Amino acid sequence: MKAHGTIRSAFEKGGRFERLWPLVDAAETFFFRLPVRTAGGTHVRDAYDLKRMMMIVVLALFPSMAFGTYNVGYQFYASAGITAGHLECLLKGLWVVVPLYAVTFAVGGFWEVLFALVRGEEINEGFFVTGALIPLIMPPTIPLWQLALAVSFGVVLGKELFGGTGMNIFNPALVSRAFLFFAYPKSISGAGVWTLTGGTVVDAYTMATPLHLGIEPKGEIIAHLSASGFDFWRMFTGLEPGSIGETSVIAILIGAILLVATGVGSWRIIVSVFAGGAAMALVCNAFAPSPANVMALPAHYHFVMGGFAFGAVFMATDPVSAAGTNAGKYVYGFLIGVLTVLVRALNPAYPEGMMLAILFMNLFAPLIDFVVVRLNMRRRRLRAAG
Amino acid sequence: MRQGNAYTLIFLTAVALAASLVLAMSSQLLKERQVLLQQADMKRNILIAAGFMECYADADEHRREMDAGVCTDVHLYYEQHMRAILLDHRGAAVNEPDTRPELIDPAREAEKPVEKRRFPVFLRVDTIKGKDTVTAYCIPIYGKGLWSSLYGYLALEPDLNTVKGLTFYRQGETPGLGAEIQSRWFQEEFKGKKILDAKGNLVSITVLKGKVELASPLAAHQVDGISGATLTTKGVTELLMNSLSMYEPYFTMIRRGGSGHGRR
Amino acid sequence: MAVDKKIFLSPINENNPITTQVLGICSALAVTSQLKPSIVMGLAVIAVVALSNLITSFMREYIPQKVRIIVEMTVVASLVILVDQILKAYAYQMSKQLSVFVGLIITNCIVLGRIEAFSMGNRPVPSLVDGLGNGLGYALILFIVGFFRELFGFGKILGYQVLPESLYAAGYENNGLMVLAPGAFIILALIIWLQRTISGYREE
Repeated sequence: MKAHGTIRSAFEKGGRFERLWPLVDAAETFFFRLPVRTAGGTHVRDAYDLKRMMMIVVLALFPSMAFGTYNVGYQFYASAGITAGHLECLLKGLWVVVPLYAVTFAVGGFWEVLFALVRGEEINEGFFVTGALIPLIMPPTIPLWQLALAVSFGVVLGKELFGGTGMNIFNPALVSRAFLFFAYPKSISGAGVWTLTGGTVVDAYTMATPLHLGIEPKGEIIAHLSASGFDFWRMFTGLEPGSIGETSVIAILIGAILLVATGVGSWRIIVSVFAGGAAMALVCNAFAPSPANVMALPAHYHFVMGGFAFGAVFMATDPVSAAGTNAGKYVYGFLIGVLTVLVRALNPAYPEGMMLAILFMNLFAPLIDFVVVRLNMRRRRLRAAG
Repeated sequence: MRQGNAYTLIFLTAVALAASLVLAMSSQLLKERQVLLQQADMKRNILIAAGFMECYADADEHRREMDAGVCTDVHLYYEQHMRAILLDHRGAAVNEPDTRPELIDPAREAEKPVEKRRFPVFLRVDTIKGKDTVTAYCIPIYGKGLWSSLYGYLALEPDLNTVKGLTFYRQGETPGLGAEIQSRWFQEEFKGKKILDAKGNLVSITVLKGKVELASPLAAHQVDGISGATLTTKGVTELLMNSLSMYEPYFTMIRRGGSGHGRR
Repeated sequence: MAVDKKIFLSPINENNPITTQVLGICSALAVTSQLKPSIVMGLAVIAVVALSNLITSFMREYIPQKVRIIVEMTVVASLVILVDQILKAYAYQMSKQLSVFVGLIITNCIVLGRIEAFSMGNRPVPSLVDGLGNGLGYALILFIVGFFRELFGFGKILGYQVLPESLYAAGYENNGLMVLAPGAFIILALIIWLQRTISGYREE
């Protein structure tokens, strides 16, 4: 401990390695108890420690992570027509998912440390949640170099450019995904990328995601989906192709309960995203030209398809980029739900609307809060006057 | 500073006169060159589809600059080898000396009622054994992709069944996905494909979602799709069918041995 | 007559019309998907800014105050049409690609801005230098944006393949975002970020 003290002093202000202080600080906060606690912060609205909060999000993500990993392996063997044991599926999944996490944290960590050193700030844990999220919203076939670029883009342009953790307008994980979506669309759209295959795919296996099949249903849409093997229950449990963490609604719901119970994730946002989606789905149903149209898809199918549930629970609730006022959260969440279903139903080029809807509403979150605060002030002024 | 109204008026008149003089002169000097280049640009697309100048068959924005050499080449080839004729919607040749077939804008034609439309055909004529022989029929193709209008030319062999070449010269689809229709590999795929089935009915060519199965009896009417660009390629399939069916009356006549087009 | 070097150099760096004054963004986004149109557009703007500055500076003593803007616009518009005509006659493919954006130089705030701010109150030679400097400042940013967009968007520079085939064989792909207009926004933002980090410039 004494040696630690002398080394430490060399890095403190005025010491020889002053510039490298953030590294020491980061190591310390990870390995030792901190002498200082976060007193106030960019989005800490009570006495919570930022790090504690992030850990809970990562814990809440764990079921999706575990199931997603298993599912990657399961789909791999299913596409080859092999019946494999649970352990085999899990191992195959780990073989794919662990490198994705390794790249994400190596690249993200590099940028975090670099910016902290250059700016002379502490390395904060901001990337912890972002890094845990990014691989879960990627297809399992994503090339690692594209992932590395996407993480760089998300961290540098999505966050550091705005001033670092807590200052970002957009959710950095979604910025990463949006980057891939526009820069390398082949890797993250279409029917072929959502299952890792061993080269040959058996005829009985459907490569496309339910969302993709829903664009041009042959016949009544629900019947068309279940004919391809995607009934409601399968999509609810999640043994289907898709982004790694998004497929199982059960795993997501477990995470949601943890987030809401600890107060880390806003139930107002989660509930209103689903409410908005349901409302828009009903409107679409009413205007659907025929049952064989994506507009005829009922609300509860929207909830279990694609990234709807994952986005509502883990992305929309990001406290930095979401609306902060309670009334604002309802509006913010509701509009995310509405936009998601709207994009899914009306824009055939983008079968998934969740990512774009959340990013779009991130942009409006400050405006929503502004209006809410203004209305509140007016109400109070009127009350005082009256 | 002079501020009187009369002065202002005179000053403005002088400026306007000077400006219009300069512009009129430049327009006069450059007009001929501009028209030559504009026509060469359109003719070049036709020549590419008809199997000439494949070295220029890149996407529009990557093409080589239209320099004097290219321009001369294009006009020379076109004069030597291409004969343009103009059809109405029933496939009968019309004689309208004022219309330049290569400058017809398919988008504008598509807005007119069908009996008012004009359909240009560009015949490639080669001298074989001292005789002028038609070696390709070239027609404009036009339709909607996912985001944009697609413009191109399709050339058929003299049997009016086999595709000789296809080129898209203008589109605004997603880079890397739909925009691949302008790539060389996609356009090459069409060569040798058939537009008629065994009974002689028009089936056109379908761009598939995946790859063509060579064993399939339909393989001659199909080309590989572009992964991730289902909607753009669907547009290509539709526009090929639409454009070809417009010319079908004329093609049927030729296949039966009618000449349809006069001697030169 | 000695002309202050700063008139020429300042708009290229610390007073750059695009990165500091944030003018002329529209065309900077629209034409820069490749280097060559970026260069041509840059040259066209240099020509228009420099010549319109020069001409209006000659006329500045004689232009009636109340029709000042109309006269300036006439000069600028004539020059732009002239440039457009020349491009159509000597660089057809390029003018087709630049399409309306050559004509839109008329509305480029840099042009009228320099006339109003400089040439109406300065002698012809410094005005010409000021126009050249500002045009070059604009063009320089276009070159940089065009260079990176073509390199990453197409793997080419000036139409020549520079990224080797072997790279593509190893799994590399061109970046589609660079071909889209937002790609220009992002590169522009990075340039501005870099420049302001170095110079310490802050928006008041």
